[in-house]
Amino acid sequence: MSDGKLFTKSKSVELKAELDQAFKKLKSQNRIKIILKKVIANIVLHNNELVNLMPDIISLMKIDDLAIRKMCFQYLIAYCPLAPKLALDAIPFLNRFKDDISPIMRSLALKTMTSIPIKEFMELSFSTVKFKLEDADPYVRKIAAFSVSKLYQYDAERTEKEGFIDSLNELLYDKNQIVVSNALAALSYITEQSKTLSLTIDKAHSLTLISYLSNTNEWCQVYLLNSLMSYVPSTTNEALDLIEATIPSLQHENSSVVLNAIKVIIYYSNYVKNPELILPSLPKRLGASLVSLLSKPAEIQFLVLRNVILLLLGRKELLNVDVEMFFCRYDDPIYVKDTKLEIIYLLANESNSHIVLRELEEYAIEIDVSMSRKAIRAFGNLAVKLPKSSNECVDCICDLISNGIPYIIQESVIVIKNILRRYPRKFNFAIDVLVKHYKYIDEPDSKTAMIWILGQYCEGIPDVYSIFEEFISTFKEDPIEVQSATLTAVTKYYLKMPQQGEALVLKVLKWATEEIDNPDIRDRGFFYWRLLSSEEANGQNGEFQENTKRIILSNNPSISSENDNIDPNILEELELNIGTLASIYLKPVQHVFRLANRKFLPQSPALQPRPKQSPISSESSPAPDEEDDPAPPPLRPYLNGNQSDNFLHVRRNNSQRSSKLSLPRQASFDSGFSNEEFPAKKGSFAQRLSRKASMITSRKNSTKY
Amino acid sequence: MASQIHFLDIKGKPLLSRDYKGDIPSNTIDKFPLLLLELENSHEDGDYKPFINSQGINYIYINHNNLYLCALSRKNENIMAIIIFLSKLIEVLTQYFKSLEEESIRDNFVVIYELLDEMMDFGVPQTTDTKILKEYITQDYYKLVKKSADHLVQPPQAVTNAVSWRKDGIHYKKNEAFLDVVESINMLINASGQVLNSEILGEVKVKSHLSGMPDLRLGLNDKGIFTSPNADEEAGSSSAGQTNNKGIEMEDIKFHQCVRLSKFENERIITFIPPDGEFTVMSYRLSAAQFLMKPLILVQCKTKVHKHSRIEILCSVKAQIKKKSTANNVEVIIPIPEDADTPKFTPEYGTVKWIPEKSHIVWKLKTFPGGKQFHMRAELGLPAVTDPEEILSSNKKPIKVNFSIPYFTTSGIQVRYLRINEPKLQYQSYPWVRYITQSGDDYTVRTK
Repeated sequence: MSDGKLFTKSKSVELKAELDQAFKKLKSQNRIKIILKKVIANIVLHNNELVNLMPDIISLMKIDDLAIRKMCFQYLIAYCPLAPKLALDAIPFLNRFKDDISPIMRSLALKTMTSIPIKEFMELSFSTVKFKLEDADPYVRKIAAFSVSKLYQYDAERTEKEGFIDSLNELLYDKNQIVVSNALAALSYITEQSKTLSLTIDKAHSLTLISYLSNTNEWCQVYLLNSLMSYVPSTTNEALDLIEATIPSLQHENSSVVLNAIKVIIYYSNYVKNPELILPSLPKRLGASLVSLLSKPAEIQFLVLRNVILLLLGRKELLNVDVEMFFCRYDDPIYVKDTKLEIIYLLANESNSHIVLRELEEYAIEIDVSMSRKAIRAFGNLAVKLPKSSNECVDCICDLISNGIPYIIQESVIVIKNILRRYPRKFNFAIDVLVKHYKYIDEPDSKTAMIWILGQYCEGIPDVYSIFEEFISTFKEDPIEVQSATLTAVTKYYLKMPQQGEALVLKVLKWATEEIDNPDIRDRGFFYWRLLSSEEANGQNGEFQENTKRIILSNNPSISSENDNIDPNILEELELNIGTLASIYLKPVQHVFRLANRKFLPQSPALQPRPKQSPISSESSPAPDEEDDPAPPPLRPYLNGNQSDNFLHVRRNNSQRSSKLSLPRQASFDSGFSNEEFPAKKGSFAQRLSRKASMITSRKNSTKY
Repeated sequence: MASQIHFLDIKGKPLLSRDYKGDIPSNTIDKFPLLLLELENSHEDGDYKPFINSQGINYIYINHNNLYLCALSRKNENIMAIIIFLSKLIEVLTQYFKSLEEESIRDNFVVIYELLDEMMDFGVPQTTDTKILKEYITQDYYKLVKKSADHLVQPPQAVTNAVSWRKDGIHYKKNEAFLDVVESINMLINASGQVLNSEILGEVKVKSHLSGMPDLRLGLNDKGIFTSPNADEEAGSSSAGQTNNKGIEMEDIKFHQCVRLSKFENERIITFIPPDGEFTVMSYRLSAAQFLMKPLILVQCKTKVHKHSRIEILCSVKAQIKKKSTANNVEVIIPIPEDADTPKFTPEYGTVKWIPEKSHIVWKLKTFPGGKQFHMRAELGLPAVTDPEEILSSNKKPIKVNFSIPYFTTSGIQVRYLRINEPKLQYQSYPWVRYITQSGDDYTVRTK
């Protein structure tokens, strides 16, 4: 049978008439049910007019029939908030049902009353829930546990004051494991909301909870595993035991159980020194269980891949995966391909670079333009990351450029500029290849890069004058960053090759100072002009523009793959949030969820300092003073509750952590195009250059949102 | 966890909604179609993500049969749990209505409403097991009325039992258990026939028709497949640094929730009380490189573009399996340019079909004995004279291959025994086993 024909919008008057009719006939119950189904249809259709039916529906609850009452309850939940006065008549019924013999009836009454946010209903709930937490039937106790969360949502203070939280706590020792795990789920909601409450469990209880794992349904396992995060192991051995006890859950069929188990294992690994040495099979097992989730639907794959990135960034040593597993499939959705590409980049090292480069080459000649561009960007990033493979990378890029496909060239220019900066003088041959195809370059970013290369390497480029001329011809219409780059490049050209460059530099400076409205460009124009025409420009012995050269042609600071450096504090918190929304956005939790409580690793004698993984840790200055820290607010630890604040502060200093690593990036982005002339700002130029090519989305996100 | 759950049609129009928490305004979902549209437009930029965050609300959704199932949440929730819940919801509803689509939602809105109520409480997933749900929610309301006449409807024991997946008192006249060992091969092969990556996704499916509360013990040939991790460690530490690649390694095994995981972890024994009916007791993943040096079905394909607007495809397939085995229903799906027409096929064996709407041709070979090789030539006309290079380069779609090989598992996994023990009833029972190897979703050959 189908209810499809009942799925129409009805008027309350009609339904009322039908009800009256139904009562007159025999077998009225079945007729009433059909009418009630129509009512439900109108709930689905959001027909608020049906609120007028309230008294009739309430009186239907007299009929002793579960199905009828169930539907009446649904009506109540949907319409009571619209007519609080009329709804009060339902209270006596609920009051009666709450002590019904049937546990189903009891729990339904409980569910209904706690779902109606009207004062009188809530009063009833407050007086009922307490007894129901001790109901003889586990099913009712389970419903009661969630009722407490509902009450908490309605009036947190009162719920706490009247001892509901404590009673809920009692349920954690219930003899029925399903009740226990649902009570944990209810509690975890409350503790997430509350700024003061937190769930802590002791050792004995944590072991009990683990033993329940094998005897509950999949969802309960999720809640049980989640609650294990509330236990702080005090010794390394304890943490190890817990890790071992959690490992079997990696084999569960429900992906959510698996990811939660991984979260728990990673959490406990913080309390073990070198867990990968003590449990050598652990990285392999974590890797395998994640990889096998990649055969699931794309959305799940995406989630898993994001978490793989997170683990690769922070806990490389605990994850053993083969790069081949992340090769893109033809029909992967674009977001999966993107994420896989990031992982391929992160996993690439000198020993597998050959396979990786072959694979990237495959993507680069794909028809999907954005994929192909990303592959080229990956080439560039790999070249910067792996000095030994840089030769091969550059060869590949040059091959690709020589195919003469415009978008490949546009992207390659940017990439090559980075490589030239990273390995000065090593790959000058790539410039020759680029110059052959300069005509295709018209996107601002690529133009900026090309112009920079022209200025920097003008002495080695044949016919550089005409190329410059061509790029300059659009100067007045170019975007600001291209104009800036042009100004600098032309000045360099003049300094290096004064005879050829003089006409050009004069032309550009004239435009910049007289015809451009943008004050920055104008200022810069004047600035160069005065530098060049200053009395001090020539050296002591009259060398041509000696002092200007010192300023403008100074060496660039070398760039490196800054991708691997994410603030360890952010990583730490993200690791505590594996499998949650924050793990897919891969940015500080408070960035996305302003009200979320900050999570951090609780202190314990066994807590290990975080392994350092950043390759350029030499940069890490002595721990910065929190107050002087120029961190933009979201990156700063969430300062709430002075106790935890102090604690965090102390720990950060102890472990010599620097939250600075991620900051210049942010700053450089805001400051726009930076001047090479100011040594102080050179760093940010480098940052900006490499940021352009950066593949880690966390970076992209951190500026986008 | 989830604040609201919505069913929406393909345009994003809400069909049915359920609010669990009331912390998000009920009209929020109206923005969903706009957000979807925005996403589609930004697709080009590679910004497309399967989850949307807009104005503090997170839209977590999956697509199924022209439907969207979308959960809304305000907080940093366990998104994996929500996604899995949505997919289980689809599973349950499909088991209820055979197929979940717009029409079946309209036809069954009352039941869906009730199911949503039972499957999730305050946004926290509760039960997603159809068999248990069917116990106290029945599509046919009348059934429930008869029971409730004596006023003693109980929630089924199983909801709060330790064994939540099986009810008491199941009875069969003939007690039988059927085992299916299915291995799906995914393989990525490049144009020159080299295997880039390969994996075996295996599943052991059980159909149980057993009475009472039987305890099952499944024995597999342990050709080193289930090397315990402890043994691994010892081997690893004794022969420090020497990689142990020779033994077959099962990279990952996942078990149905009924399997006692800790028992498996410690003793490597698979024991379980099965749910009634069909289910997958375990699934495993193996990197196939250790078993398959060469593709099971080797496809070589050459495409020639002739100047006179004609394209010629030469394809050969070889079954690189044992002579005694046969591959069934082999399908080689070869992509062709979208505007190709007037096909002419000369297969040595089997039939070739042109499927213009998907712009590919399918070469079907009903039975394919091991060791044999067949050739096929196809010619298609092209309407416009274009650059041959362009045609080739715009056609980067891979060739897909489907096949199934019965009585054979690639990994060599075998069921040694299935011991069935029902302590109270002590009946005779009959286990049956079948093996099959088939192509997975991704058995593809890249084209040049």
